[in-house]
Amino acid sequence: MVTPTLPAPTATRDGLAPRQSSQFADTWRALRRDPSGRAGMALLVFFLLLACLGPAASPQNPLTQDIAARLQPPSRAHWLGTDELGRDVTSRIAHGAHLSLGVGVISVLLAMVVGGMVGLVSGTQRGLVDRVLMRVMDTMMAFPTTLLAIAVVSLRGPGLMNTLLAIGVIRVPIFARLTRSTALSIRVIEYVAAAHAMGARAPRIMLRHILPNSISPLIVQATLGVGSAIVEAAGLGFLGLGQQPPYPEWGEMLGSSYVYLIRAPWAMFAPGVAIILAVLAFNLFGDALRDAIDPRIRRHA
Amino acid sequence: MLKFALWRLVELVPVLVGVSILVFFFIHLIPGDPAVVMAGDIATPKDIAAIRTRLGLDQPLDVQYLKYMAHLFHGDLGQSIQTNSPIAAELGDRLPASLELALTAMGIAVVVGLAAGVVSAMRPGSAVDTASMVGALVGVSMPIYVLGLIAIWFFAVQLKWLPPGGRLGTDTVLVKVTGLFVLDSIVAGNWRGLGDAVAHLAIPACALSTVPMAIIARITRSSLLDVMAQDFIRTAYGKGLAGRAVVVRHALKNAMLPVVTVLGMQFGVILSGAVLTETIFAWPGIGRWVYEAIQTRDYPVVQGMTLFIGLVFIATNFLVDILYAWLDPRIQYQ
Repeated sequence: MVTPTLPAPTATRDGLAPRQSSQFADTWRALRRDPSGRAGMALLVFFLLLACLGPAASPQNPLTQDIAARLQPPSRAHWLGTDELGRDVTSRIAHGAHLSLGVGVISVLLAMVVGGMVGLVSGTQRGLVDRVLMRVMDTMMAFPTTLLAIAVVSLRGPGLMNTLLAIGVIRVPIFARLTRSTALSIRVIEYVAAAHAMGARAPRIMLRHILPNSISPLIVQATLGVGSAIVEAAGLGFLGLGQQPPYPEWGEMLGSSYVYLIRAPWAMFAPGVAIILAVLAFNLFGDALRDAIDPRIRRHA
Repeated sequence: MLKFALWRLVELVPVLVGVSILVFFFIHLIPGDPAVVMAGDIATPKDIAAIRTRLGLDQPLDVQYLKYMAHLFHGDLGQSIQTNSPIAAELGDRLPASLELALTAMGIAVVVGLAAGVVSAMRPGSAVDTASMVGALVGVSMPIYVLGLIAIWFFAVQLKWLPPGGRLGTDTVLVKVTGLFVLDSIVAGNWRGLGDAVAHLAIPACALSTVPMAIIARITRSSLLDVMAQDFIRTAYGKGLAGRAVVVRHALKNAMLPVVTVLGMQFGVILSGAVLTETIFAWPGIGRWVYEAIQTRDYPVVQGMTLFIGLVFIATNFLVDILYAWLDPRIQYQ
């Protein structure tokens, strides 16, 4: 007979339930397995570095004009050629990154915070407040977004700040409706009733109980929304309504160089490709994030 | 069905009032004085006051709004500051150009997008599926102003196959009937004119179709995959129907619901994106008009067209709702 020995301390976990992995870790694992998630993350890291380090790392001053060397094809001195004022296109792309990407990200964050608050209040308070807020959101949604942004910016006057505001404001209803619908489904679950019974007030219920549970669809929606926000911001820049010259913003660069389409297509291609890749990065990552967070959709996508 | 349609129509009233107020108060909600913006940098206070009087901005707000609405109900969208001509009349001239472009693009998007979506859903995970879904993802990520310019550079500048912009060559004569040049030239039997109109339409319509096409392909695929997993499809297979019959007669109609919704929304998106598209392709429609109006600070034109495109957008979504209820009668009773 062998006397049973105490199991070694390291082995104790074996007998227990496996360690609960956090939602964050699960999502991260699913993202890394998904090829489009990997591609999206790689591109995002690249653009993040470009936005942060671009101005410091760019070879030349993006504003220095050299009329003698205008519309030069790509060369060793100017990797992506020069534009209509002889400015180095590479440096302008690098300097423009934080403007073009920043407007997209910040405007969506703005929409997410404002829309999230509207949706939370609407979904938990119900009644008259809900009806009024939702009618306002319906009216805003009745407009096609691009047009509304153009109208707002053309009235407020061109500029990056107005672009950011316009693009943020037109996105508020999307986030408001999303948060409201999750709030509506969560407020009927027992633990919210329990919190009510314990005397918790509305703001506490909203922030402690409902918000944390509606945050993941909001994050997915935001990630997917950044791509289209970048497209719209650059579109306004293209029309001359966004960032004003001489400061480089990709849309503005495209708008001022496309008239030289025949002589110097590279001046137009560089910002164009930069916009496409940046939008692709957010769309790839957003798609993968949605699939990772919501496994039900994963089957189909 | 009629009751449902009427009820949806009644529900539209607050949205329509909201839209009219929103467009009207664009001037007033926004910080800064539109008269100052419109007058430009070198205007004297007298110029600004004159603009204010001309736009009626010196009257009380409620009076301004009621006047605006009264004009609106008479089909009067106001006057262009630049040309002093009625906006509604010029809208009538320019709308066919925008419609022709939007409808052609939508047609291409529906045919190719549906086909790609169905083929992908039939063989999920296959090379065709992967290729069309990667294509769709790249498609939604392509802003029209980038894709359009690349297409002009390639097809018009490099290959010289197609004209870079405009609706007709300078030497083409067409009798205007509907204003849709493709239709007009067919009616007149003007084959040279038809060729010219189609050649001018090709790049803008194809470029404009990519985003809706990509979205339609993705929605069709996922919706069809959902439907194909349901019991009634297994029953259809079980009673011995061939694969094609099951897909076409049983699955596709049921899978069309989300696709129809997306169609309606995309049509509005195409119209509102007309400002960019028509600017790039020198297309003489309402979008280019808005662009020109922005450049010249022709404020009433921007306001009128925002309202008009907003109304078209609302009308499209209304029609989609009705179509939706027709496709799926259960919706009426919810």
